[in-house]
Amino acid sequence: MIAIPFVFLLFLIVIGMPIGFALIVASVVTLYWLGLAPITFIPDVFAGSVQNFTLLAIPFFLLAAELLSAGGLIDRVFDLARAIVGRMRGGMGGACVIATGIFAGVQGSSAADAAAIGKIGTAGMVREGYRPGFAAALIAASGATAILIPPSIAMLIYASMVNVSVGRMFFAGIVPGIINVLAFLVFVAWRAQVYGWKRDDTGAITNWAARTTALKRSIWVLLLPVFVLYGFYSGQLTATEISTACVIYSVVVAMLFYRSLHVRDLWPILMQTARTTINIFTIIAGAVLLSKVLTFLNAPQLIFGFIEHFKLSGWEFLIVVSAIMFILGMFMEAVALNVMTTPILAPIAMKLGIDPVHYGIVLIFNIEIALITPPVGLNLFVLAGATKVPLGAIYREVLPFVLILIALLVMAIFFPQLSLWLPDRILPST
Amino acid sequence: MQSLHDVGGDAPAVVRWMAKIEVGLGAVLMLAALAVTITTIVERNLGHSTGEWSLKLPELMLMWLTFLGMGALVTEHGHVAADMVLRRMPPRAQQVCETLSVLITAVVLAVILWGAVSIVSQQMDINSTDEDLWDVPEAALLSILPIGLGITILHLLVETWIIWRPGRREIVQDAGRSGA
Repeated sequence: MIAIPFVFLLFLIVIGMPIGFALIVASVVTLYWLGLAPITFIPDVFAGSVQNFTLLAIPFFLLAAELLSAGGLIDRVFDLARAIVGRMRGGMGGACVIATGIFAGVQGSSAADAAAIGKIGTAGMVREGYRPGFAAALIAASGATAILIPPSIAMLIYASMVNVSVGRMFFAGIVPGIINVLAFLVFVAWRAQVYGWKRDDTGAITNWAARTTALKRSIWVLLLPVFVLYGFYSGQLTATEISTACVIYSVVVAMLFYRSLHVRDLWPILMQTARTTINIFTIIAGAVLLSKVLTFLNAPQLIFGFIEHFKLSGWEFLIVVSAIMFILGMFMEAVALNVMTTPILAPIAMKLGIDPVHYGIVLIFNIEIALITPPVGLNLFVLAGATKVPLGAIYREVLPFVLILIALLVMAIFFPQLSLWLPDRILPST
Repeated sequence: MQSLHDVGGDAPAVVRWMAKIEVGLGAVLMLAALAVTITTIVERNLGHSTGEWSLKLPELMLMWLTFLGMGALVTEHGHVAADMVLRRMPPRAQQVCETLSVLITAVVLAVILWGAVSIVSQQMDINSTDEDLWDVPEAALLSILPIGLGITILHLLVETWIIWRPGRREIVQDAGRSGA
């Protein structure tokens, strides 16, 4: 029975139906075929799924990121990243990893992160001798870290569904996020040595005076994540209020400090943010509906029965969940994967004694992998579109990054301290 | 990332404008939600209480934004879709699959629309109002469900017409489409 909505879903995705609609259609067809709920149930779920004060932070964080992007943030961040590692062999790849990492700290969408650095970064890397497919795959993978480094839209969605503190989730992502960035940096440095990639000879600024200048130019951008985390640390503001404050901060920085944004630019930015918000919330509405259908089909009880039958421990459960998500992630969009699985699997994880924040970080790593696993990996699509590198070439080069993320996922499963150490010290749960 | 066509490039001008207005209204609602949230923070720091409305109103605006703009993104091809199988098909098969996709969605949304109309008429029958939002009738607050679904069905039907219109551009891009 549980297979019914997924079979529909796969068929609908194959014929090119938008993911949000495919989730809605698969759910509605299953509901009516099996006679599971009255007709008024669906619009009721729709209304409930998007009426959530915490989720309101999503459009505001998106808006803040759009404002800073339009205000020339990318160039400043990219210059800083090049100033830090540009003179290393294959330094442009390292600069891209650092730039996506920094940009992740000011916005929470991996696709936006990958798109922002995609074009400029890929061109620079190809100039240094990187294969185009590898360059695009690197940015797709490092862009995916945006959902691990706060602020993160994926974490916001998870926290709102599990009723866990958004602040604890955000702090929990910092250590794994830094490890993730470092892992990609080490991998790029190793590949650069092996393949003899060139140094950045395009005039990258690399002496200490120039580094200081680059730091000064981007200091207001770098302060934004500090500001967000302080908001949670102080306990005075909710996630939505912090995102609102981020919008004000971004307007002030881009219009007054950088003077790179004008009043006439605001309307297109608002329109674009509205579009992205509608897109995300259509998927959320569809995924919430599908998770309700799965609950009607007794999916949580079946999964729990499976766990009891095989007497799975906490970490064994996390490995099974990760394996399932890996397969689902090949075909499912990241927001959908998050919204659909969390209401079913997170309560089971908690029953097994797994901290919801630890489970959340494991989930985020799984979503990160889903973002770059073919055939349906959103970041791969974004990079193919932005750089015109054939999708097939990116598919071929993305495997090492998937393997690195799987290694990091295993580390996150077996070492919950990586996720819990920082939030337990800064925002202990009450 | 826009892909299949430019933003609503193949749609008739009137439908493109309709889509722009819907997204524009959504942007205004988003801005209003932002203003309400800022007011709440300021009022709280001044020691005043803004009441339940300051939480409920932005939530409601988010719902209106989503349902108002859902259809516009159909015309603008802004919804995330994975079309790597579709673009490997011959043009006629692409047209058939796209038509199937659009029509199935329209039929299913019509079923949901029926449910949404039932909910709104139930609320009207019992004269239910929202005390937190100045006793505005619940039917009015929820009216965006049938309105939004109706608009989306309209956009989907126009899309069906566009798919079969002579001279329409084929899917040629090398990526999935995504609005995110």
